[in-house]
Amino acid sequence: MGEQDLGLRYWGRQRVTRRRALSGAVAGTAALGAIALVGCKSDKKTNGGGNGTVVPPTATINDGYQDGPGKPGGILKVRQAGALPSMNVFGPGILILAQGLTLGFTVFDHLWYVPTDTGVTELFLATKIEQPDDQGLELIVTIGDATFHDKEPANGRKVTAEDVVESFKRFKEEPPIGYSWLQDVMEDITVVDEKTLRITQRFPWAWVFTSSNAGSPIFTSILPKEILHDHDDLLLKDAIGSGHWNLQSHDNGANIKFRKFQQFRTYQNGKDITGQPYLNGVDFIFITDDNAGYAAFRAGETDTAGFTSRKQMEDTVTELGSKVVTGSDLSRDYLNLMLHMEPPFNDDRVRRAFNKLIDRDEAILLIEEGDGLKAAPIPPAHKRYQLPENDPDLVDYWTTDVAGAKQLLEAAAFDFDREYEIKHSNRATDSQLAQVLKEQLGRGGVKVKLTQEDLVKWFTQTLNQHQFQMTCFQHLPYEDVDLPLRFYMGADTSSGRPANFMDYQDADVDAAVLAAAQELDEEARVEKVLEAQRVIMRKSAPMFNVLSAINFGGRYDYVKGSVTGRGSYGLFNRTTWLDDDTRRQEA
Amino acid sequence: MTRYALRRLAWLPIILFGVSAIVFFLLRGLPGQDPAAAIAGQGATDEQLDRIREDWGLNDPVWQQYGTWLGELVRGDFGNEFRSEKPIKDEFARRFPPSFQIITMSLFFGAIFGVGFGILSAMFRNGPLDYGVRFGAVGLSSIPEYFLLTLLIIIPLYLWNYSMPVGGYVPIYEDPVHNLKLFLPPALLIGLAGSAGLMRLTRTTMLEVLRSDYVRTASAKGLRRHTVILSHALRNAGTPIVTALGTAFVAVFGGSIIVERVLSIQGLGEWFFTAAFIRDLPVVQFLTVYTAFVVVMVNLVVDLSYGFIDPRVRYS
Repeated sequence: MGEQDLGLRYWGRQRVTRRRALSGAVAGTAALGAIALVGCKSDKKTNGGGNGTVVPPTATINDGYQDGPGKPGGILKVRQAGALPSMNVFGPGILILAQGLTLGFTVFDHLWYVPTDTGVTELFLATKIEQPDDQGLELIVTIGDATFHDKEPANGRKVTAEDVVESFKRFKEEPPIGYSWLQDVMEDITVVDEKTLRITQRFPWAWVFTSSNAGSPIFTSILPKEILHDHDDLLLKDAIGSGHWNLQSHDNGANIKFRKFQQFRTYQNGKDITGQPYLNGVDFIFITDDNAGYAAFRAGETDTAGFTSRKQMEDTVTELGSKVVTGSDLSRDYLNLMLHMEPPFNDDRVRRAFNKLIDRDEAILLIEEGDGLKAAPIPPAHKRYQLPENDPDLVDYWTTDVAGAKQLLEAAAFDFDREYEIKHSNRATDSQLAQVLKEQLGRGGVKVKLTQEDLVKWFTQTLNQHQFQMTCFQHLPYEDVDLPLRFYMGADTSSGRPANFMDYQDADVDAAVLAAAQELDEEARVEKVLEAQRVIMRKSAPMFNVLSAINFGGRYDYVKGSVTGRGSYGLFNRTTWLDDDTRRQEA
Repeated sequence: MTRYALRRLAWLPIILFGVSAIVFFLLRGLPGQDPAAAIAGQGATDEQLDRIREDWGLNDPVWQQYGTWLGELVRGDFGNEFRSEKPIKDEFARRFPPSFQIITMSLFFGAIFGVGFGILSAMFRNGPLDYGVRFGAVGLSSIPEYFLLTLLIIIPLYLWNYSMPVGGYVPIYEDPVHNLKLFLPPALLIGLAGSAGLMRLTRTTMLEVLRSDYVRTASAKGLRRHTVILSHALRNAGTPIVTALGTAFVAVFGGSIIVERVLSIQGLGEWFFTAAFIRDLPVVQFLTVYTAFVVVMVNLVVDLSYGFIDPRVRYS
């Protein structure tokens, strides 16, 4: 389990290197930033490795059972980098992201989820899903036995299909963040009987089970139906669900305390999970400053930490030795250059030339001090969907060729005398990326002017209203590949409104992305995602992904049972346990 | 003096009205400031945007929105936060005590250090102490507060593996040790850093006063040195020092934003920072008017204090 950013810092969260330490603090809490590009929890975490050693990213995959049988008891102390504005999970999308991300897989239950490491749907509250028609338009979902937390007005009553239906409908009433499965794909959701519900979709949608769709930790939480309407005061102050953590207390959104829900259901995904979670609770400790967060970890005030750089992680290992387990993990967030489809960028030769001018290896060195990987249309953390490195399209996409780029630009009668603008936010990473891109594009004779904007202005106006010639930024770490692919689609499948920020529309790209989204066979879908990436690269679709960073984290060695690479689910997984004997000795 | 005070206070509503109008119209006049669009994000339908505007009264003309807000403000209803919909009044009451404590303590230490070292510097003019104090004053005033506070976290960590108390503010009556461990170091540091200007002003003023005839006379009468300094010289040097203290208060008030951010204290400064960042307009508006109110009141107190410090001052 890694550092808890709690969504408030979600968009603002970034790998603050030593160079960025001061400016990062100014960028600080980008609450509203959590805004929209959807996604789920930050994946800044540790994946564990050998004691006191630094491990390359994802060298060790932990399933939560690698430390042997879990021991019950103990309170895990983790950092809370930003206070939640309230406990309300309803409201316009951007306002409730932080709450949704924090409470989503802790206090609230869900029907299912797809862990990013396995890509296999895990049933949570659902015990059975039937898709009677060939196209998967209808889902008949059976739920198991579960009870709500023992708080007014639910008072520990059983969870019914009606609670699920009413919760989904309540979330559907709110303005979504961009594309929304609830609004755009789901046709209806109805109760069949106390334990069964029926979901109908407007069209086949293979991503239905993923975290940006019906497995969203934010928008598919299950609440008791009696508090869904006309209980604003209660929703602001408290959260009642049937998840494995009971919200015990909070100090106006800070210092949140979760305690084990003793009546948590005993099954999951066909497995007996009696006794889980092992921990008695999780205490979030409100620490806004990164330096203070690191100091708190070093002094043993928190059990886990996210490091700002490899150097900080190595220093910690030197200082604390085998008392800490450190690890690095490939982030699912990714940096990109985006071109708006106006002259000269509506000429694919110009777009292709711009991509050829990007030197991804150099960018990794300059921005991430070498700790990063090159990104294709699907960021590298989604291993299952990565093209082989010798794939001709990928090789071409990643090859820097200044001479070739110049030729293409000349062939397209590119105006070298004109100045082209990259608008970017004031986040440290975005600013650095813009600087690097300006330099690299300049090698091809492209004159670039950088315009830095306040994050909120950049997001709400520049990006959201497509008011840019070029922009570059760090995407959120999406837990599935649906969103990264759909950013290339020209129009939303149902509403017809522009679905991407670039106003880019290409029938072949749309067809390839939709083909993947509507392929119900998993293996075939992987192939279609790979093919969609090839089409995107061949067409020089105007969002060029540059790199994904490697994050560093650590925990004291008495924290056991961590799971690798599961984003939101991993952060709140139930397999974490504490070896209290070791903890006492080390204290 | 009462009439003077009342006359000054009569200006208060006018000043606050001016500040509130400027802030309100400025926040709404900036480009890209449609609060409904900012709240809803991409993908919101027109109906949903209309609903948000309706809920927050954003469909009304701006002057009407201002009138409504001002009317509620006068009646003591400060409105609700955009983000959480919580009443601003409740949040203010919760966040005021930690901010008050950090500001008061910082100002207290700033005054002690500033005046104290200023007097010493003047008394031992051109001596090692004077040079030391002046060097320290220049040094401290040139280091950003954020950096000083970061050092406050990092140095004890590397020297003693010590971390500042975490988990935020605890009232002094609940846990005095935790409270002082949290507030004392930054208050000392901010006080010391903020005292630089005061220190130099006190030194200069004292040097002038110490050269006065009446000080020489007091010394010639055989009064003890500290009596001459504290009872005669300092009182006459007091007026500019109090003025500088008033200015220092405003600086500490602004500096509390950084203290609260670095030390994870949910005070007014941290609130202002977050609200400004996410365009929580009602909070920004309220806190700006509140800040104006405090600044005006502090200046009034400073002005009134001149009469106590120097009986020659007459209010007319």
